[in-house]
Amino acid sequence: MYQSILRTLLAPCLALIFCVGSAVAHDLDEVRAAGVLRHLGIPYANFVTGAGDGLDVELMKGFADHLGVRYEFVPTSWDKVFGDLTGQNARRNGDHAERFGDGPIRGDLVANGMTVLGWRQQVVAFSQPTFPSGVWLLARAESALTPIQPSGALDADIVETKSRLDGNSVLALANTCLDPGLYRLESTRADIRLAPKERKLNEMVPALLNRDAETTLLDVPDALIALERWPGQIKVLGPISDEQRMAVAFRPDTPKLRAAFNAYLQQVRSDGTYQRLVRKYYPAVFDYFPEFFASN
Amino acid sequence: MKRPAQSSGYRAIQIVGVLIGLYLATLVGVAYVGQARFHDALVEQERLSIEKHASTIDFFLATQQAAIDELAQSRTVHTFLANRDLGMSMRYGLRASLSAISRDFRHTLDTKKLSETPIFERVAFVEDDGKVLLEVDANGEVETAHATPRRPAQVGVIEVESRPAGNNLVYSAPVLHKQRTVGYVVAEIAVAGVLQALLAESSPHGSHAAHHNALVGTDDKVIVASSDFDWTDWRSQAGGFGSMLVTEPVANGLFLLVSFTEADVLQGILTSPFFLGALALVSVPLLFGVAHLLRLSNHNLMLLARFQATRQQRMILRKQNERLQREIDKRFESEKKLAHQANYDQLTGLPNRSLALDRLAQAIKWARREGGSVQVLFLDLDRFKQVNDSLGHAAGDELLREAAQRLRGKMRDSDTVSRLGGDEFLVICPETPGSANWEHCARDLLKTLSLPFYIGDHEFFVGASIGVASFPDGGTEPQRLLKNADIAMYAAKDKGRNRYCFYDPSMDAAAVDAMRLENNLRHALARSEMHLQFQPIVDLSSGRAVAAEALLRWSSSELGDIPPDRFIPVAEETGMIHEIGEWVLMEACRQVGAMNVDRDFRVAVNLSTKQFSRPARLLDCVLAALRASGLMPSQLELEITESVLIDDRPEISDFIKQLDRIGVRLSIDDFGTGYSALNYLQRFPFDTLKIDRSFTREINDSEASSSLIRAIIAMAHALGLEVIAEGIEHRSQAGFLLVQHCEFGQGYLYSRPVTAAALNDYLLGNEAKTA
Repeated sequence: MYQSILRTLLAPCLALIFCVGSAVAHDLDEVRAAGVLRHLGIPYANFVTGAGDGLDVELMKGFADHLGVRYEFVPTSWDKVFGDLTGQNARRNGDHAERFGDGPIRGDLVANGMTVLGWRQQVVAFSQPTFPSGVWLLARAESALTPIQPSGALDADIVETKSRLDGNSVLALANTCLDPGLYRLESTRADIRLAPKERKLNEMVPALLNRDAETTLLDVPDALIALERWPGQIKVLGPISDEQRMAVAFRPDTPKLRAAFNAYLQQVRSDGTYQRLVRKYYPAVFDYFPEFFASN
Repeated sequence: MKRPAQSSGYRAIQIVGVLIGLYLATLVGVAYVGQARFHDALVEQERLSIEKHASTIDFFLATQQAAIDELAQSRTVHTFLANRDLGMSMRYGLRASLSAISRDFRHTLDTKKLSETPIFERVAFVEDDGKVLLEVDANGEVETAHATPRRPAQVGVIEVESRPAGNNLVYSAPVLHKQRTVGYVVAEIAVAGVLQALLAESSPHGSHAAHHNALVGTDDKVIVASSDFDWTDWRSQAGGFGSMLVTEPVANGLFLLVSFTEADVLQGILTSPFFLGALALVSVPLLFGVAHLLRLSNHNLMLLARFQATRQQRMILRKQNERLQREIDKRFESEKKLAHQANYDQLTGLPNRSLALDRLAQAIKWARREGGSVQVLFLDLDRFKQVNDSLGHAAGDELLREAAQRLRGKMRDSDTVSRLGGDEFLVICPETPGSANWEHCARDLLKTLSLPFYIGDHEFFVGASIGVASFPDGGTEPQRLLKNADIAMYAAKDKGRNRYCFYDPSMDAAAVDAMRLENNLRHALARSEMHLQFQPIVDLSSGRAVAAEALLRWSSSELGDIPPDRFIPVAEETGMIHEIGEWVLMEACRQVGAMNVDRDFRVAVNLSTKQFSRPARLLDCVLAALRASGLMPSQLELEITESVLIDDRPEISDFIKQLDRIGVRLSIDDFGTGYSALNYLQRFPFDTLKIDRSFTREINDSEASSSLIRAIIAMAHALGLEVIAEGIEHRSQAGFLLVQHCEFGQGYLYSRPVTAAALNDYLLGNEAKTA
């Protein structure tokens, strides 16, 4: 009886193992053999606009052309993005990654302004940085909270900014770069209000204007767009995080594909294509991260 | 000393001099006025051009001001100000807003261009206190951290700002935020590039070196010029000859748009005094040239007129010559025709009398010279008259042509065959000595003319009589030869016709007789040598005289009794027949009317065919005779030969019908001797037919004659005619005729022709017999 049950369970497990094994093996050669590069993406800021373009969309299209394969966009969400890439979902648990639930691999890479975070590096392998970032704290214009006066030192400014949270509510989004755990906001005695899982990063400012909270976390690229879109209605209080980097996420077992992308990234940075794309989607970012673009 | 009078040539020179002077004065005056007007027009044109381009520059500057004003009120500026008001720091957030403004400024610098030249050199965002927040130039954003604060002197207007590198136009647009001015957008227009391009466009003379445009400020400082510019010098030159200075305020009087054209440019367009002087001098030889040309032209016109006149005259002459030539040709043809007509007979084409005599004279000369002879044959057709009378003149003409052709065919080329007139021909045969053979020749001619002639459906035998005279025996002169041949011809006729007769001097007497006959005949009536005799016509069955035929007799006091067949032809030929015929008619009627005869007794009078040529006169004569004699028309019977009717002339037909209408009787005389058709018996109202004596004479001798008489009588009765037989001399003849039912007869059997008195007696005796 147990043997029959074991046989019954073993077959699917073996099949899954083979399946995962075959997914792991879907490296550069397999991509070229399949003739398609599957781009996993979540509409976010100007990386993936949802309208068929965006900085990362154009970057991946260029990469697919570079490989000589067809480009295919595969939409996903923050709670499924790792499962769609690796076949196993993951989430932050403290400073580590917690894997849970399996699913089919639906793409070859993730590119939508994904911030390089420690726990994420346990799940995926990131490419060379593609974009600078950070997290700012924003409030509505009429808020009594005042922006900090820059001190010239980022750490001090972070402290000053977090001090503004004391006793005030703040919107955050778990498992993203706006995850309050990443910045230890619990120590600020702020009223941390996590947004529903289905909420997108693009919807953080509207939620703020909707008075879901007094403040909200927002990564810099998104904040730059929000300041232009809602001029005079929101204000940046100050930085919450250190300077961060965004990059393209690969399955750890596709080193050739990742290396091919890194080579392509170096190429487009050298020939100016990359700068042209950044200027197209984030013209103001050069003023905030001059060192990042200068080093490239 | 007396001063010689001025010649007309000298006065002409004076007048020409005055005229040239007036011309030069007028020329210079007109040129000066034209030049002044032209200068004014150029100034006006330049002013209009400058006004237009001032408007263009105004519009251009206003457009740029509007662009800067728009920048100052742009959303990026307000976003920045709003974010700054929220207390945002440059480090965290505000920098992005300023960066957006920077991008807008840069966009303005990049896109605002005039002919690929950037309009703005730099655009700055200056705070109200003069602090430069942002400054962008062609190279990008300018570091402003240590920039000198600069607050604009004037806002909303363009001002001139002097720079070491040159003047610039500066425009400051206020930035209003929350209803107060919080800063300025300051833009500098690149004077050197943009305005210079505008000035170049505003120049109507293009890039001409002596034409200048400039923008001058209110302080007389030159802001920009199209070329090296010395404003002070220009203004001093403006009043000079030819130069032109036009100004127009720009940007609400902030600048002056100046257009200056140096004199040498306008002198290229306008007429200079030197040019006018030169023009005036040129006019002098020009005038001489014109005068010379006019003289030449006049000369040419005269030559042309002469040439035209000559050509016209030549053309007229040619036409006249052509006409004259035509006239000459015509005249020549006419003369030729006349000469031909003068020398040749139109009907036969033979030489006429004139040419014949000439040829005869030539032949005589030749014969005298050569010792030869000339035979002259005078030829007359024997029965031509009968043909002419019976078939008409057309038939006679045809016969003459045929006869001429036959004669010509029988003679040599050296002989002359000519027609003298009528039916008379003359043949001239020059003969060499010893070769005269006129008899042979005459026989040939007679033979050919004796052959029958065919005219239409008729056959005629004509024949001829030929008289021959020979040079020198028959005469030595043409006229004499001709006359002698004629005499010989008459001799031939006298001898019985259709023969020839050689002239003999004895024939002259016969000719003289004929002439004497004619002369006496002319005087016969006047001398009362004519008288009538009457031969009774009796009813054959009763023997009673029913009529008498009046017969003319001539007893010439000089020639004696002349028979009618001798003098009647002469009378007919000479035309005396009319007078004689009328006398006979009047006298016959008178004499019979004077007799005591029955009212049914008739007198028959013969009419010559020649009398019918005047039918009206004849009718008048008939009426007069009846009226004078008192005879009834039915008592007069007119005897007409057949030949009268052959012509079928309408007037003769009318005449006969009128006679019938008034009751005069008509009889056909000598029936059977003519050639006429019988249909006239039906057409004309004859009462009686008279059988010719030649038939009556042979009644007993010729069966043919008796048969013919029978036929004639039968035919006459069939036509309702009574028949009179002439020439009855024997009772047997009378008996035959009576058997044939011939009603009447006349002849010696009954009575010879007798005088009127004898007739009267005869009638009385006859009446007694028959009573």
